[in-house]
Amino acid sequence: MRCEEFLRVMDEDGPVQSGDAGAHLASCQACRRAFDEFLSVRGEFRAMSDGEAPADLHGLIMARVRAEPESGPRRAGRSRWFRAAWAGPIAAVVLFAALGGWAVLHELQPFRKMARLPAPPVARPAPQTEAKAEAPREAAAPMDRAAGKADLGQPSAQGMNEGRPREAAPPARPAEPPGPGLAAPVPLAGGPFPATGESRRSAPPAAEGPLAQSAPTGSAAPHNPTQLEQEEDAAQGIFYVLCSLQSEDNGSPIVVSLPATAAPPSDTRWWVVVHRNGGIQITDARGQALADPQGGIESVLAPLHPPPGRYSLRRANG
Amino acid sequence: MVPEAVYLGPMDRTERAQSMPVTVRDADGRDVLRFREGDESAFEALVLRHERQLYQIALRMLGRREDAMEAVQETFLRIFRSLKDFRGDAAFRTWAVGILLNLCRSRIVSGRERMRRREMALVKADDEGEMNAVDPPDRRPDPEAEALGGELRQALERALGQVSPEHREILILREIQGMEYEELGQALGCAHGTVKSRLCRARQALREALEGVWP
Repeated sequence: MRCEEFLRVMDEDGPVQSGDAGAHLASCQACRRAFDEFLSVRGEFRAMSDGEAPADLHGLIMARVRAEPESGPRRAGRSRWFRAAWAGPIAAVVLFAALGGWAVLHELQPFRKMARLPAPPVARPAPQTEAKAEAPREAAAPMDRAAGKADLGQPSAQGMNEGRPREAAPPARPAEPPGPGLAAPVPLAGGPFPATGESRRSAPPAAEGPLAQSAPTGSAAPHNPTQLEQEEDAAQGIFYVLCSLQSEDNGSPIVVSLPATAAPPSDTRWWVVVHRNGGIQITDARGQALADPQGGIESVLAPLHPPPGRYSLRRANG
Repeated sequence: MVPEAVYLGPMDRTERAQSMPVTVRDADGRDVLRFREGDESAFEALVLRHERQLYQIALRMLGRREDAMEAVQETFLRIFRSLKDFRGDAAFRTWAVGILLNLCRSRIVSGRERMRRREMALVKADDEGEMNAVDPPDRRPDPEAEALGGELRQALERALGQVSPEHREILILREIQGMEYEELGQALGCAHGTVKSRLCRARQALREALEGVWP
């Protein structure tokens, strides 16, 4: 063994007094001297551990420990009591609030968004007697019965007013801008649309089939506008058709009013595909893309931000 | 006969901590258990048993009595706050030394930062022709410690102040405190091989600092 190797073994606390290192140590005076000095330094180092701590150190340590406001076993006991007494009720309240809030938001989000849309111009309806307006409402969707509004210009959303006591149906009256409340009627999409002769007043009776149960069809109140009223409506471009947008996963339908030229024909159903990037595509039942008539559907649906998915779109009132 | 198991419900964190198996290998283990059971006098026993050793380590690491006292107080404060989570995987002494070393490293780093700022201020003051009002940092060992030893001891104290903190801490723990390799690995947070090679390099660095004293 060479001297460098021996010194490395010595520095690594290796066995220097046995084996090759021991033989080298016995034969090499320089390494013997180095090892002796190593031991003397180590001894001096060990003697350095004999120093005492300052006399006031213990008092300072304990003073700082006792100055801790809440620590150690005391804190542990208190926090355990706190948890036992309050954790359960607090967790229940938080869970209830979170679930309730989620449910309400999930149910009403589309309608809140709709309520933020500007109110479209609505035609002044013709005078109508209460009895006249009441009869068709009997066959209408529950929501519309509760809302008591037969005006197509103020379609309501299904489910909003379910379970409320039935109110006396007021006489038909001019439409009002939707209020900010949750129960506000779904406003019409804004923007004038060209009149095509298909008016809400000439809409056929309520739709049949499963969708008719959930879609608002109370708008089918017969009305015979005068020639003057027809001209006024046409001038303001208020020819809309109520449509129901039903998610494939059977969520609550979204009721929208589409311009007559943008609504699907009464005997067919379109599919609306809302992509993750917000893009909206219209297809037929076979998935073939259709041209959005004058961009009317997209302009109505885009502000509502419907969740991505596939929706069926059909006329709610025939 | 196998005893019937009884489910007492989920434990909270404190109960889990209290039920953690603490290796009662010595008086420290017993005091830790007593402290967890609410006996705060057990903590004082731990302080009495270890404050001197921790102070010696801190003094060699930091070089100043005041800094060492502050570091030891802070170390015991941290121990007091987290003793209920101590699992006893390592000995209490090793755990406490690890906490102290972390504190010392932080102080050394912040001291270096302060020194760097002072030096920058000195350069700036010199550039502006003002008087040098800041004293240079004093790395001399504590006079009290110096008075205790002879020439070799004073040389060792000086040499310890010259090597890097990484080398200094392992030399202090191994040479002065006599800790075994396993304890060193736990206190320093490194493997056995790393301890061995680091100690070898530390001794070489010390030898260079002790030129003429240590071959």
